[in-house]
Amino acid sequence: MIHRNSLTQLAAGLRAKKFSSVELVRAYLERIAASQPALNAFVSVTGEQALQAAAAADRDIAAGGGGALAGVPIAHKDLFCTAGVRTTCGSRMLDNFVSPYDATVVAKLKAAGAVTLGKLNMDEFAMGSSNETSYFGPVRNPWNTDFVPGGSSGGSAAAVAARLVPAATATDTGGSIRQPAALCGITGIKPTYGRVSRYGMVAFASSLDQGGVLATSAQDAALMLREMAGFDPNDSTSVDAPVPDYVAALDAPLAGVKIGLIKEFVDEGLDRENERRIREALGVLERLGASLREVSLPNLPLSVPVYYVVAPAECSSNLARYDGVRFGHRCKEPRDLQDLYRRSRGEGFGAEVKRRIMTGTYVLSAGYYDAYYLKAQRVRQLIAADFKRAFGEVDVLVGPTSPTAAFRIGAKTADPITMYLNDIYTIGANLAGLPAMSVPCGFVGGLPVGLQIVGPHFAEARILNVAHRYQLETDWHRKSPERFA
Amino acid sequence: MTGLGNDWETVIGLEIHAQLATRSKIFSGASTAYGAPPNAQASLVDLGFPGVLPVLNGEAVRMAVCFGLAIGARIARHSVFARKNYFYPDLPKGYQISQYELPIVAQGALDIVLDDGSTSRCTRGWAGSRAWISTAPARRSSRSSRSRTCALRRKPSPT
Repeated sequence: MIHRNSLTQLAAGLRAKKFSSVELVRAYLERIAASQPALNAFVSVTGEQALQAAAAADRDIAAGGGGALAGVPIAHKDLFCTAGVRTTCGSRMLDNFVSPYDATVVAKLKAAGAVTLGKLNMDEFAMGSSNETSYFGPVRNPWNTDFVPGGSSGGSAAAVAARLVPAATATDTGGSIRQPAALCGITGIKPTYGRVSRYGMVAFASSLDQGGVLATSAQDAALMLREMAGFDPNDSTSVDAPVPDYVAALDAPLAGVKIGLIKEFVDEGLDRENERRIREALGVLERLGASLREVSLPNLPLSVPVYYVVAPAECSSNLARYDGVRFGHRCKEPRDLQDLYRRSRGEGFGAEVKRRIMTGTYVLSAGYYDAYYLKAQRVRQLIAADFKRAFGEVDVLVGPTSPTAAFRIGAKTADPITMYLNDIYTIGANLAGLPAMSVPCGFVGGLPVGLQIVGPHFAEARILNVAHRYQLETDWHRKSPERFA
Repeated sequence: MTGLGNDWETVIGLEIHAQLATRSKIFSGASTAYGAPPNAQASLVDLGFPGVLPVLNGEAVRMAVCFGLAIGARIARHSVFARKNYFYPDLPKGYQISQYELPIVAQGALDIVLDDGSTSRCTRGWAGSRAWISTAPARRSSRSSRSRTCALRRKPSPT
């Protein structure tokens, strides 16, 4: 039952030589193979490379060396480039794409000693909130396999929730770490924009994308993030500021911490049972000495329309490189250049990606640019200003992560707007570039829901601290789906 | 001009491209040296591989500023790069990284001594001054950021 250990416990156990990395990796690879038909969490499993890396980690540990994650198994969302292992982005377009280089995040975790077990399924190019847009088929929620795991990091979330890996990398452009964390009953953190390098992380919307972690606790997320964060000369938007020891900052008492409940997030769109779980969680934080007040961010309800102009605009530009010429899907026997473009892209991309490319191209086109894109950017600044004002009054903001618990596979695929509204509570942090996380705070109808904690820029240590103190008082994060016990 | 009466003069604008003598390319560390085999100096950034990001060459900015100072131009304290999006076989990313508004150097002038000993002043103008978030793509338009003129201009009427 080695998989019941947390990432932190596994790292310590390896160092104390209670078990070897090879044993650990074998145990997890077995779990992955056994669960794959039910969950479809992985796109690629790299067993052989993992066992080799584990043996190397065991030698490092025996020699008294190895990094903070020496020998610990993890897996990567399939949009982090991995040298020699295909990186599909959940798309037919990159079905056979093998990157010649490692993403900075991949290289950093490798340098810390982590052993990669494979690549995790995801919504195509990270566009989706249910993991139903993947070319490799939907991922299923380990709590009930008729339900979605959330998206776009659905494979990462399902794998961690089913204890197929103790932690996984993920990315969050509009909620893609926090929403699946909530729907799968695990802990996820999206750091400040610029905290984690985006080099080698396939771009969806460059001004919103941020890499982060899915794990079973704030403590484990802190350990992973500490190894992933930091300035990267290959990413000019990464910030050259020291990375605090997030693990060391976890235990600070909450006495005197000012917490603001976002008024606009407990509105009529929020499921009543879900609201009760949130208020119970706030009660726990108050008992720990935090003070609670309600804070209004009046422009925040505009997040969804703003996001669905800005994100598609950036996506339409970022996905232009998939033209069938140098890499990725190429149509058979193109008649001419136009035919090559049309058919390669037409065949390679799925419906949701095409919808966003078309929307994005439209809002950037001459004549519509001012009315849509520029206006959205202005409203985005108003939303960021709302957050700034709120953080003048409180240390962290809290609310629900998603309006409801997981929904049935297929329930929202017919109506994109209904699907988009899943991200109503998470998008604001992306638009403002703020660090935000989701921690499990109970169940609604047998399915997990999450509490969202948002902090000011570069306050990862603070939100992890609030989450950790909450998890010392509660055991929601220790619950795992029985079927994968 | 003949055939058009005597009230027209020819005005020709020139778009001049000058290569800055940097050792590496403007957005990647790949060499700019001549004579290497084909594609030997194409980095993953140049090829627009998934996940790569451009990093601006500081030396190129320094040289551009020097050039701007030499022609008495306005040097932007805050400059913006923008994407000009279109599909073309020589354009790996599907967009150029260009400058549209807030270029590094704007509105300089250069005096040219003509054969007859007189001087002619060439000026260069840029349009616009609106700022947006610099990570965002540019509007989709075929409009060039540079003025290309080769036009006929009506002479001022002799009053």
